[in-house]
Amino acid sequence: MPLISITLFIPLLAGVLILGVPKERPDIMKVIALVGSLLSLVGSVWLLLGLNWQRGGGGGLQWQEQTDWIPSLGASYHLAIDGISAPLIALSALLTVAVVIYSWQVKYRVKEYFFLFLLLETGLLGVFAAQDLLLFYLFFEVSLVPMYFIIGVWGGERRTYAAIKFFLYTRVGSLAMLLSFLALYLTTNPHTFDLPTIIKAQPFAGNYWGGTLVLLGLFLGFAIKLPAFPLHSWLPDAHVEAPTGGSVILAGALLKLGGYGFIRIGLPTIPQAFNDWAIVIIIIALISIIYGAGVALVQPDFKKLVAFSSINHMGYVLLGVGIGGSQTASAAARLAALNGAVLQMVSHGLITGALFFLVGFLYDRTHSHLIADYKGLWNSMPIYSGLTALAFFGSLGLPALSGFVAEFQVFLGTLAVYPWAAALALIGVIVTTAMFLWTLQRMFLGGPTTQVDMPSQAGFEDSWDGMFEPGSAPAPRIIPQRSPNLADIAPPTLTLERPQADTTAQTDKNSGSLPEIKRRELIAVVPLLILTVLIGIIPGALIGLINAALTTAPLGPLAGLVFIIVKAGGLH
Amino acid sequence: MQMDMGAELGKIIPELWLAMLVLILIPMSTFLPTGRKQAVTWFAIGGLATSLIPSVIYLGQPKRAAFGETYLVDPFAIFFKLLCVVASVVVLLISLEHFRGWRAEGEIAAMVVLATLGMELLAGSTNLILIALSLQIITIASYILVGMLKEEPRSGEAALKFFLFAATAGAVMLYGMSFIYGLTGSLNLIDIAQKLPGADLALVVLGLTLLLAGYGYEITIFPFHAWVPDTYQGAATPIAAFLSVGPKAAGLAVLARTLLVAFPRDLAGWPEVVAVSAAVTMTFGNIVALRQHNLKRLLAYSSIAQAGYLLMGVASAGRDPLGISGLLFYLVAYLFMNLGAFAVITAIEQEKRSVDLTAYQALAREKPFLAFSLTLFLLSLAGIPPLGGFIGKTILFGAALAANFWWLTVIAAINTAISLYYYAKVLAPMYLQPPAKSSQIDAQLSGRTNRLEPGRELLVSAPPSPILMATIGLVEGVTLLIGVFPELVLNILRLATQL
Repeated sequence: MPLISITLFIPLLAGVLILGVPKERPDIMKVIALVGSLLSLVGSVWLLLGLNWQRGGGGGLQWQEQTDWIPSLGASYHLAIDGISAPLIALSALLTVAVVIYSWQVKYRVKEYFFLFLLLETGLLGVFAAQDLLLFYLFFEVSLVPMYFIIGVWGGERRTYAAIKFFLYTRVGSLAMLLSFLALYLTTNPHTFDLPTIIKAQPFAGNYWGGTLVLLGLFLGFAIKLPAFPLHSWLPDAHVEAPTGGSVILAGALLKLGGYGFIRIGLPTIPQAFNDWAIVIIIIALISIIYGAGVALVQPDFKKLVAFSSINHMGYVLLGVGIGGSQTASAAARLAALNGAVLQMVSHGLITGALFFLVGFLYDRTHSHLIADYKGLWNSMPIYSGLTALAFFGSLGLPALSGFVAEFQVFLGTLAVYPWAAALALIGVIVTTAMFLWTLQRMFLGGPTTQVDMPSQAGFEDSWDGMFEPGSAPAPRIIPQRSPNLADIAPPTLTLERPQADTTAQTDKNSGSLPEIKRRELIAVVPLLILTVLIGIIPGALIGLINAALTTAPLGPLAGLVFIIVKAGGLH
Repeated sequence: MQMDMGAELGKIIPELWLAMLVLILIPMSTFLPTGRKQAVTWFAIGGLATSLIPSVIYLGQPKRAAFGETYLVDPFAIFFKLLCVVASVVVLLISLEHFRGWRAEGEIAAMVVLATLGMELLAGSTNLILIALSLQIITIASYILVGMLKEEPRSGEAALKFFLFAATAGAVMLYGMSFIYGLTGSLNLIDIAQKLPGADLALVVLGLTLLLAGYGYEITIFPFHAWVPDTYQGAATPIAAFLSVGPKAAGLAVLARTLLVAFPRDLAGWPEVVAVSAAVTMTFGNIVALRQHNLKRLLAYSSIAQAGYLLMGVASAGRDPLGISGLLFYLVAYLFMNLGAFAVITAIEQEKRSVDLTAYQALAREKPFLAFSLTLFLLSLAGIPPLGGFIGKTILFGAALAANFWWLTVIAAINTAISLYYYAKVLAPMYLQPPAKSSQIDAQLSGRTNRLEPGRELLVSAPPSPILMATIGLVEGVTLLIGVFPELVLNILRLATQL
């Protein structure tokens, strides 16, 4: 049974079904979206549990599906997963379900909203499952377009700018990547886009400049997506302007395409080039780590803080890739670094996904991202604050949470090869720790009152209209409001409705407290945090799975990781 | 030379059929009263569609020469014939509603068929005189089509500019042909190929350059593109659609054939010349398109840029078989996506009487189907998968890399990225912005609209007709289909890549 294809196309099918639902029935659309994403989650968990976790031979590509697609171009519909892609597929499916649950409140263009998120899910799952470069590229771009619209239609005030910036940036990267793919295609004889075949052929072995150019193209594609310094400047804009659901998928799943691409395509196809340029990659990773942490530290904006901390965290992924590609390192060190990189992707997806949800919950209540607007939240929203603190601790790498396990392994690998790099990366950890603790102190601890000062709202007061759903929990809703007096080109302003019920519940603005986290919000965010804790306490299963994939063909031998098998002459 | 006339004519049944069709259509149109002339267009559509049948039959047969080696019936030519006929049918379907009730309605169909005949002849010509003649047939039909809206000053201006440009380019081309004839003593491409390598290289280069001018204005190669924006803007939208696809395809066919057959083995360095003009053409088109607000002008510059991508295929064709495949595949994709984009613009123009970007504000709410279709066509033009334009670009990029034009591939990739900006600029108002106030559209109407005749029925805005919507849906389906299952087209191409 082609279980990967089924898992992959269920969301798309659900999305198309939603397009057919009449406008007046948003409830049906939501149910279809939920069912579709849940089925896809079930499929992805099934795939994950069905994997053979055995090391050395048993952990390679599984659930293989291959049929002709474009035979005259040597491209086939080849899907398969292993221990690296399966967790990321499950992560993407889980995040989509969480976003659908969270988005139950969406009222503006419901149909397009859920269609785009489901299309995005198909694109994401496809990238993680594709074993053909052209197919990989296809899904890679398919995941790009929905995000443009998600940011552009449901985003904040500068959404048009942020959306096009995101679109252009990632498009430049993916075109560079396409050229590298074509170079790999043309140098493999007979020409093929099939990834395992290309890896076996090693077309750029012994070709220094060719390999370097291919690396350059791949690096542009994947590092922009990651994003790594200095190619990161789209990320803060995209994240801040994107709606909460968009931010969650963007940080939780979309950024992983970069790291995944490095490990799935970059390292095994041009190992020599990765070895030649390992130091450069490591240095870029270190700059990203320190820069991301440092800039996050000084952000007055909560959402931007989380966004920049993503640059920091994805820097560890790149560091792991750099160490993993450096053949001066021992196989054990490289394995540890790559393990850490993959684990970091999963962990970051869970933690930062949760963090963006939490930022969004707060924004829904107050329409403010400014850290300075909040104080003593713990008093009024203890559950919310506890969850946020947990996510903070996960993000700063507290032991017993997933972030620690991942970063620890990257450090372990780095320390064995370049102790100086590990020392520099440690700066990033220290700054991140300081940042999260400081933020915790500023927003959640301190005085007993929440002082929410929203001067920007005064101007929008008169354009608010009744968008609050009577009868549901007293949380304000945001919908983009078309203000008649604004110029046509100006993006519609996001206005916040503060319903009567809410005002009374809040006594008054000065001593008022914010409503506690709601059930729907809990359902969206708690599973992510539970997994963070689980992976932190018992990482063995996941590490074993990743290890099995890293040490078997096609990834392992060519990165020099399965020294035992190579010695035995088994796979070359 | 002795030949059996009947057998010779048997090889050009589609061309004869079209010639007959033109001769029927012109009187037919004059006899029908205004208001019932739509029958002419329908008749033309039927006739064009029927002409596909003999072409398809020929496709399976080996290549044959006709009329003493001056005319070739090979899969390459037949492929272009199919392409041009399909383009003309789609254009006529788009134009049905646009020209309804207008007194020259029938002549438009006749001229489109005449131009199609010219394109068919051009695709098969292997003789310089026949090439020049076919080009003239296309251009004369095009003048009439562009200048048809006599009452609209912009239309007259467009036709005049087009005429002056085409006449000059045609003269220059003939001058170049005379050089080649002088050097080789032959007008036949195959004979030329044998004698040209021995000729003085400087004169060969000169002849080639002059020849390129003539082909260049059909294909809209920089700097022979100058007529395009004004002509597209001045012409009625379906006519602009026609010009952006049909003549371009035919021009590329004859360019590829001339260069590959008559200039063997990179003679006079033509791959480099074409590669450089490809790079310049796409860069120019894309950069100027960035500033356009009028959708017809935007698509005009976009089509110049697209010609640049197509030229990549010609440049690489001499060195790698992927080049011709890329050229042909991208042409198929381009035909559908570009005609589709123009069809949506026609529909919007009928309803809002504006081709300005402001008319597209909040289109996603008013006309979700049209907005979605335009999005799809523009994303395909930008080369985003899983649409036809993506596979086309991928093959072209691959061909250029394989032909060692890595610099051209990099330039093309950068250009593709740039082009996304202006295509997304059209998407933004449709989805991301609130509706324009009616006063703004009125302001647009006074200045920049592309009105036909004062007092004409068309001035009353009408929602797009079901036929137009169905055409858009069909073209959209094909654009998606050849993107997801490109093998369908590639299977046909495998026959056609032999020159």
